[in-house]
Amino acid sequence: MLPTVVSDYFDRLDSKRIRPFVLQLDAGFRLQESWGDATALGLSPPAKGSDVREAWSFLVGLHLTQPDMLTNIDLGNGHIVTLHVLPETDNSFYLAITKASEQTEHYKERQQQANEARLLYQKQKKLVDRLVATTAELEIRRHEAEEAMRDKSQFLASMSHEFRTPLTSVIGYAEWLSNAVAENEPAQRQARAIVRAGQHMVSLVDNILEQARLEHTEAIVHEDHVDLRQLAEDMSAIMAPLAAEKGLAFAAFLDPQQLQPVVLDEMRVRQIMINLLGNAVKFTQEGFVQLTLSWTGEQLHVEIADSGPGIAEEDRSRIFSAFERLEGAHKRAGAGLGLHITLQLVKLLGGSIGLDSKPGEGSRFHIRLPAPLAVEEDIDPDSTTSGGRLLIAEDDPDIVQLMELFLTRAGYSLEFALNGREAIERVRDTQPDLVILDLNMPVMDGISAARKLRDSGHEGPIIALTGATLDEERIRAIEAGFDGFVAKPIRMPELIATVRTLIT
Amino acid sequence: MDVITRKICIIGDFAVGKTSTVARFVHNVFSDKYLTTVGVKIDTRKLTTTGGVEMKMVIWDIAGTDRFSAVEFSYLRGASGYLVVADGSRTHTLDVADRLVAEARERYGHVPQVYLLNKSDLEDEWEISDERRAKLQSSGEDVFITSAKTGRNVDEAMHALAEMLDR
Ligand SMILES: Nc1nc2c(ncn2[C@@H]2O[C@H](COP(=O)(O)OP(=O)(O)OP(=O)(O)O)[C@@H](O)[C@H]2O)c(=O)[nH]1
Ligand SMILES: [Mg+2]
Repeated sequence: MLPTVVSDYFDRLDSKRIRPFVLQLDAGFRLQESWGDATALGLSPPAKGSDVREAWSFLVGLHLTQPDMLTNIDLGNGHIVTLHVLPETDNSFYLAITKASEQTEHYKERQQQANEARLLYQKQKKLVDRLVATTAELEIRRHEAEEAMRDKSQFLASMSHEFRTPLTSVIGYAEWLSNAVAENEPAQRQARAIVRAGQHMVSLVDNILEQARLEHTEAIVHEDHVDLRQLAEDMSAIMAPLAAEKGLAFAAFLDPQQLQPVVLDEMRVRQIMINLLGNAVKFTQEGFVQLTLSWTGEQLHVEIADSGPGIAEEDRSRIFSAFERLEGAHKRAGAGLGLHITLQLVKLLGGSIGLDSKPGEGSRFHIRLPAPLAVEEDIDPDSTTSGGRLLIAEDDPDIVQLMELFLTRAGYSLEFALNGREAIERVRDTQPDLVILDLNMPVMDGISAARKLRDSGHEGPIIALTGATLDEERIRAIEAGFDGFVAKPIRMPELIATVRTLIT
Repeated sequence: MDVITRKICIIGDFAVGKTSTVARFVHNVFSDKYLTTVGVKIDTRKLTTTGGVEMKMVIWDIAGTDRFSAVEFSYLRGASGYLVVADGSRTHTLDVADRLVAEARERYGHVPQVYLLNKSDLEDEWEISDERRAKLQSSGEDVFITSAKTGRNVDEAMHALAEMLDR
């Protein structure tokens, strides 16, 4: 018979069928009495009077003085038990040991699954966190790379700007010279050679500038009204002498049906043609280089053919796969910056480019560019000028002189200012018909000056002379109130034409 | 010769390697398979302290939890020392360890303990920073970087705790 304390306890627990092994201990854990079968729990019963903790070390640390129940104790002997502590008096304590319930197994399975799931979740979360961190890191790196690229572009842009300004003088004076020595043919040829070389240099500088702009992705397509006949003539004027120097025949053909102006980004189309024609002349040792312009279905077709060494199949696909993924193309040697930019420009203008070539049989580039017909504005560039008073603010004395030469001959009377502030004073005093402001001047730059003039109510036309052809600068200039632009190096006919459209 | 018996509890979050650490210490074995502990599992091992005392450590390997309930508190009662285990590849488990220590202390007062930052073999996965560990050490805790898998520092940690209990 179990002691009442114990049997009452199990009655209350509602576990009547449990057959516990029960010990009665004194305060020193010495065994007084025992009930039940210890071996059923894998335990050998300790001797009466001995400290049970010596045989059963799992009882070390147990407190007998207050009731307690310790569940799910794996004894390490294959048995899982529950300990029940039942104090009776100060020196009599019952300790009941029961087998753990069968539910333990189910519980264990559930906990196993839950823990495994939590562990998996934590691992996944760690991976995701890492991915997020890596992505963020990459984003920072990309940003830095972009920043560096922008710095580089900015540097290239300002460098080419530096080149353009002196080139304006070189080309302008050479042009002047070639006119002045018209009766001396050899001298005129040499002056023309200077003009061509200068223009070639400008196109090289433009390549660099264009590259900087394309990398900067600030490229804006300009819509100019382009006279294709003029374009073909200009190309001829530039390329024919270069070809002649190498003993090559150069011919430019224009489909005679198309004599109306079309809308094109003129500077970029020129750049494309100069680059491809320049390459053709460079690589062709004998024979011909030929340019054909035709226009059908709102498209300009440009064909550039040569009798050069040709391009092997693999190089051809290399060139054009670079066209598909332009990013890496400029790193490749051989193709040259010119070809790389050409491909980018064609893409920028929404065109397509193809190449037929076989080694030994020459090459033929064909380009299609969207070019809708221009709506005529009805300006006659050859009409005699009625003249007018122009104020020119430009700090470079060479360029001032050059403009003086051309503009006075065109019938204008001129006044000059050395900076923006001076220009404003002069405008106030003399009210000129048109103002030409260099954007880049000391004391007060052209943009600030134009803004001040507009703020003070000046309504006459203002033209900007800009060395950098950055679109950004153009936009700022339009906002400041300019009516027109002329890019440096200044092509005097262009300047005169611009002046004419603004004062009649 | 003196033989003293001490109850030690090993506590920490789930799956930090408590059972593995005991298995390494008592049986010198390791398994990669995770078998969660339910309730508590008791194991013993004798060792000799530097003071020449032979100590029988009765180790209570308690199921991992991030918060003690009444069940765990009854397991902890009467323990002479704690082995506090965290998983070095999961920083969070060290926060859990700190909290468990605080809870146990509130209930049973100050008990000697050592910290085990386990799974040190998982170098690529290691998360707990040196600063964090240094901070723990400078607050007076004995901290061991352990691996139940390789056995690194397991005996050292156990002996360190035994030395604290040899009084
Ligand atoms: N790599 C490595 N894995 C370990 C180490 N210690 C334990 N593990 C693994 O971690 C998992 C959990 O180990 P356990 O020892 O069962 O962890 P526990 O703390 O007893 O877990 P609970 O009983 O659920 O609280 C198992 O898969 C072990 O193999 C270690 O030092 N290194
Ligand atoms: Mg375990």
